Amino acid sequence: MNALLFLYTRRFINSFRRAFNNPGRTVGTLAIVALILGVYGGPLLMPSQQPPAGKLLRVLPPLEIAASILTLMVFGFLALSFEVALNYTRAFTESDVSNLFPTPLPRKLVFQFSLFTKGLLGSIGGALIIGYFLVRSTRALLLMIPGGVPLGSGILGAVAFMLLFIIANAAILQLGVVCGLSVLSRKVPKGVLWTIIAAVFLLFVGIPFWHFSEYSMPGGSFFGTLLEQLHRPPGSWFFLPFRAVADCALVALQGWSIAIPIGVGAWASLFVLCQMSLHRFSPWMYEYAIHLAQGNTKRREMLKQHSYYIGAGSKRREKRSSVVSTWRWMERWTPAGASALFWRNLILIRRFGGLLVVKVYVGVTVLMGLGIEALRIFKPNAPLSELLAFGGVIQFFLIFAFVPSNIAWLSQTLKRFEIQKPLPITAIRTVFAELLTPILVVAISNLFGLAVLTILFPRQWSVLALGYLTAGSGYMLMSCLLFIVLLFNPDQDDTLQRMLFGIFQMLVFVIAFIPSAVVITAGLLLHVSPMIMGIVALLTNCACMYPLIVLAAKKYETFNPLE
Amino acid sequence: MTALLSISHLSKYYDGIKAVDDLSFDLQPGEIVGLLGQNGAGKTTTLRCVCGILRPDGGRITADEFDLYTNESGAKRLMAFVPETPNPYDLLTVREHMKFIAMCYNTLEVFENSIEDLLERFELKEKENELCVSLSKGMKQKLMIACAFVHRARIFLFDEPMVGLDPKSQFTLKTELHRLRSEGAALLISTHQLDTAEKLCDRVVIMQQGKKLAEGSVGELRQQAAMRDNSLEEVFLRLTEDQT
Repeated sequence: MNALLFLYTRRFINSFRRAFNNPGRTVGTLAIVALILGVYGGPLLMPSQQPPAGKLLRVLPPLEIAASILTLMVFGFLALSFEVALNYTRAFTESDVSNLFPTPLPRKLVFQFSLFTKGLLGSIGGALIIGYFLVRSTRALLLMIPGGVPLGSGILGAVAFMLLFIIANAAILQLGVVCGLSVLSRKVPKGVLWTIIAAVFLLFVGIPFWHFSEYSMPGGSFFGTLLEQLHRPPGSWFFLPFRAVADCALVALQGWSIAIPIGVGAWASLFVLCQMSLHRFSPWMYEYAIHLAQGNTKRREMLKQHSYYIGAGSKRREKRSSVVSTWRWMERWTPAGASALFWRNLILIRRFGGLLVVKVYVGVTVLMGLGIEALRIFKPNAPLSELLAFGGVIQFFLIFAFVPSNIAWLSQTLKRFEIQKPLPITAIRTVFAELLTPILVVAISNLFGLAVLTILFPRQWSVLALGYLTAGSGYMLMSCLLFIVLLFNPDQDDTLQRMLFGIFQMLVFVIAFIPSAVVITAGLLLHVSPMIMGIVALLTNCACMYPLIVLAAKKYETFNPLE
Repeated sequence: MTALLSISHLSKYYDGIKAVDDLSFDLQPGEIVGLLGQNGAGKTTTLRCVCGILRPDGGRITADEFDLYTNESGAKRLMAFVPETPNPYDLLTVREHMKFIAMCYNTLEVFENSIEDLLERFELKEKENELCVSLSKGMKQKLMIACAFVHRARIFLFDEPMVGLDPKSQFTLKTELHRLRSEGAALLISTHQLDTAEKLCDRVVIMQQGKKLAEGSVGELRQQAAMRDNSLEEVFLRLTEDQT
């Protein structure tokens, strides 16, 4: 145990030291720490005060808190289960396999220590962030409710929520591991496991969908309708353990509910049962950990090297007895200069799986459109504008599905600079050629998505166009900003660096959509048509991109890919 | 003489494919055994089973009097494993990494007494306070080898130990291997460098498609291949080609 504590403590301390080992990193780290302390720490540490007269205090009402937590829990359950079933958890590394597993430390201790420290890190972070907002919201609500429950109850509720949230996540994580181990040890066939996962997923999606189609009322609240299922079977019993977590968060406002002890019992029982199963599977633990570690290495390689992707693709094709191919027009087109970079990027992005992203995007759009149509057939009174707005939100978030592959692409771009810098192509052209390819993938996906939805809902074409033009051009801006962040902070070898990059990413997400937001706000005030707003947003984003490309090119000139 | 490491009827499957098939051989104290074979022959899988990382589907492994499955901790205490790919923890310094390994084996005393000497011998002294992430591949390999010496192991398992080492480090390692042999340790070395194996190993086990194809000293293998003064490389090629 001492050795494991030493390992994790030293790695954490060294990671922190590393964040200050050069001026660039130091400034970035300090800026982020100051931001976090300023935004989150200040308001929490300040003494409770009545909001100043005339100042509207933004607080989440209980309904939204419960809905948010429930959504998060259900999403967490599905994500963690899939993460483990797909061997995606980051709990183990190749370093553990080489250094830790051959040692005489008890197998179960090593496995569970790594699983819970690394596997639950995200959950603990999530619990702390929600807990923070919970304390703030509850405190504000209590101040507004005359004769409300004391502040202590709010804090007690937040602590209870965080504990139950972490226990629930630990149980879910273990459940996934038990599933993985049962397949590896050949106790359960892979097909059976996938059938069970698919069935659970269908229940999680199907029950709310059925409830919404059955009980939604015109003009009714979306969250309200969804939450109503917690009082009617089958949702009331199916989502009970998740509801317990949400109820725990609202103890200060609505007191202790019967769902809480039941939920605590359910999650604790699941945890204990999984522990017992893990004990049975202990001989296979290291082997399973190797599977997970190898999976992680492959994914890291994918992020780092296109050659890995291309190699893996070639192997798959080899198995199918076909050859690596390209588009015919690409073979005929032989450009020169910066266009040659674009030509190469098109080939690479095709083999990188860029087209798959387009297919998935269009597929989801079609399914969503058909789903909305189906809902309208079952519920003719359902308001189309609300459904489309909901669909629009999904589409908007779908854009973010491109972000990981975009970051992978841009990270690889930095590595390619070693080959590209000696080429007689100006920095600005090089940067433009590198950015153009991933943007093109999103633009094509957007066009297809827009076409599909316009066919399904022709009357809403202008609103849809506004949405797609705004999201697509905002994404262009986002790519540019991400590239600049990567140029300034290319090294993401440790968790802290990745965390810093993650925070920068969040800032980029916000900044990238500010020009569009300004255009839309101005358009709404001036009663401009949605189509015009969309075009103006596109042009504004393009105009904002130019200085960013110039800045990236300046940085490219001094960037050393070998450092 | 009692074997220090005994592998008997070892089998290991991956998705129904036999990676190691009914493999048996022993290592005596003061003996260096080379594990040879083409890519995919099952050498790394064998080493990973022996050091307790992988769970075999059949067979028994004993280190001295300890059975690896009934007394895993006792057996592992006797072994030191150097993997093919050097993967030290990126965010530990060289010294911290070695200390961590010593802590795992509960041999901090040995570590404290031998650390300076090890750092010197493996040319790690200048890098002792640097993070492993900043080391070159060769330096990482030296670190992984040095870690094998921070506890009182009697069985040493090396997977391609010479890869990535400069000539001086290769010489240092060979000297260390000879020293270990003279002290009575048993060494199992998986390698593709047949000239090194020929000079270094007392005995050689040749694997093919998970099975033991041949076993013996280089002289015995020559006889088996019906060759006289040929090198181990030629003997190996003859034996493996005969089977394909």
